[in-house]
Amino acid sequence: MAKIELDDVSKVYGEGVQAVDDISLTVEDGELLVLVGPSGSGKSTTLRMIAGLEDVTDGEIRIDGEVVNEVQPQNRDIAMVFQSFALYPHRSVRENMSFPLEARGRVQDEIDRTIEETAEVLGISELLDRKPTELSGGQQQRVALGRAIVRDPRAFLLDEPLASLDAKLRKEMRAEVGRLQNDLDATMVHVTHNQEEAMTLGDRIAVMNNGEIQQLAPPEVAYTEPTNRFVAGFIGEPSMNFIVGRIEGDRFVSGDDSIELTLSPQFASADLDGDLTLGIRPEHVSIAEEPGDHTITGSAVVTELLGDAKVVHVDIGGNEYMAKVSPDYDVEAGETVHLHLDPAEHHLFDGVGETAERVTPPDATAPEA
Amino acid sequence: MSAVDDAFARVENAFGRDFTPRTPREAVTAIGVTAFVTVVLVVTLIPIVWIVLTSFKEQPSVLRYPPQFVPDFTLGAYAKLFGQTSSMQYSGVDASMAFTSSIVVSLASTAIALALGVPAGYAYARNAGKIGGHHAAFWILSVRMFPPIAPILPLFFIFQNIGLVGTRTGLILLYLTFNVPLVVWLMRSFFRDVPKALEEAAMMDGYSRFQAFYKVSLPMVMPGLVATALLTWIFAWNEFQFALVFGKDTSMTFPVMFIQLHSAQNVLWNQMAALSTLGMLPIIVISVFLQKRLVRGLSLGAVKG
Repeated sequence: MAKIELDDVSKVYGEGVQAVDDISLTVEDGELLVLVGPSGSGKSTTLRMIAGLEDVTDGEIRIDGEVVNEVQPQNRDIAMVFQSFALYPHRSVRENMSFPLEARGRVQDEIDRTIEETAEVLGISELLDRKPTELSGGQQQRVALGRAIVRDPRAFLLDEPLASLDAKLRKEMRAEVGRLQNDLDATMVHVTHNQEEAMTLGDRIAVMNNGEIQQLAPPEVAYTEPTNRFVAGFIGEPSMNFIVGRIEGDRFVSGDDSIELTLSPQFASADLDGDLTLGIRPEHVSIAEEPGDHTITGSAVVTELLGDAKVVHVDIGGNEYMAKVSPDYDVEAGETVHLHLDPAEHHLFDGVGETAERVTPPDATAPEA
Repeated sequence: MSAVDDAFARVENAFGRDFTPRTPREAVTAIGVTAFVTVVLVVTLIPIVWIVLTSFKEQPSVLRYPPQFVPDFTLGAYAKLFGQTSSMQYSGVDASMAFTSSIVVSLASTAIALALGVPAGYAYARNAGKIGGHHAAFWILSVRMFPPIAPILPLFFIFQNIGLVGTRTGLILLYLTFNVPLVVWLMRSFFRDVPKALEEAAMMDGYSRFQAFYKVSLPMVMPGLVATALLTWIFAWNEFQFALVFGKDTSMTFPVMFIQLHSAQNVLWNQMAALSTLGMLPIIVISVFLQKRLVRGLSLGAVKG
């Protein structure tokens, strides 16, 4: 397995479209790095540049220290799993899996043995003589993984491999991919737009937006300490509530004055003025009986039952805020609701846009931030 | 199982249902459909049957009235075509020479049209921007849009100047002007249906760009390629107008021979029928032989697989 390094890599398409903008990252040997972001964020382009399917406009990509910018995809010794699976329809499962081995001039005995072994691992031994069109989505997925694994490449690239599966199968295959990565101790770059998939799979995740990496961190760090408002809103489901406003003394007041609450004391000594965004995750919002220092008041709009929890949407001054509460909580639309915002879980962002940076609580970490 | 039962079973299988009528309404429909198909088949097949029967008659029985339905079963018409007892009015070209020309010209022009058109179609399907874009592709097709008679005169003078009139090479070149655009356009649409990800997968699997084309995309469009080849070949095989003007002596193809069988004195109907029968034969044989692939090729892209 190999280490993959991207150094100030950019991709500009012919018409001047900047798909990837000056990104740098290192995928350590044996690491599973997830590139996650909305469509058009440049995550797939980044993956395809690593694969060699797209030219690099600027910067350097290294695999095990060797610059591969000019190396053709077939010579990079990297396997890729495509969203569409890209199985060769005119070839049987066995022939699909032997295809990369034939390219390497392996002898037939060895090819047969390797395929049998890999099929065993993936539970597709019964399917070897079928054509891809005769397989279900999950089976096709396994074959696609098998074709990647069978040749023992330096690294694996997975381009939204689970996106075309139904929810149940997606969870199953997600676990399978995680297990395989562990067993093979493989260097893996996994692209997805699904933040939940990113959180569960990744050793580290790179959250991308507009061709830039917003945050590169272990999933729990991206969740607890999102580096900017975009990451805060993208990671976590349901997504974080944002209140735009300003600090007045120890109070946070929303722009239209409809919300006023006592700010978490950890931000007390922060010297901030101008427009700010206060963020709080729905799971850190609870229902309060009485208004208080850390509550905001509005009227219930709708509730969504998730099974193990219920999401209550509350309208305050024309904006909706969400609280994730116990599933047996009952409220009628229009009823007045007091939401308690756990002060220990306040996030503060310096500005109002997606790029508004996280304000590190002054008494929590070193003063330089 | 009789051949008819077998054919029925295949049709039912293809449509995924049983066509045995169950209600009076279905029975009426079945009778109506059968009657319609019968009429269509009779109308289309009777002339062909008549041609084949005529080819086995002597010239006098061809003109007999009322018509003679059962032929004499003589091969005289065929023998005359192949020059055993020559009654050729114009030139010494007999059917063996004409068919040789036809075979050489049609096969060569098909092979070259495929050799040029398949890669071009692929290029237009994958990266039209680099080779003139869709306007260039359309321009290629536009060659087929004017009536073929229009360029005949200018082409004749050009060909005469460079000595290509009366040569097989000349005919091959002429047929390319019509067949290359056809191949480019058909293959372009077939290649478009091959997902790009498959070629990328092949490259990731360790194959070069060309190998990805050769080992993955080409086999996938094979049914389409076979259908395209057949259409191209049939065009060249049956073409008359250009062959009449540009083909002479050794380059005279079989459709032009019909002219020779038709003079001021008489029309050699039995020999014409024999020539037609021989001309139809390879097309029918090849079509039957390739039937399965052909249907798949012609419907390729129409239904997503």
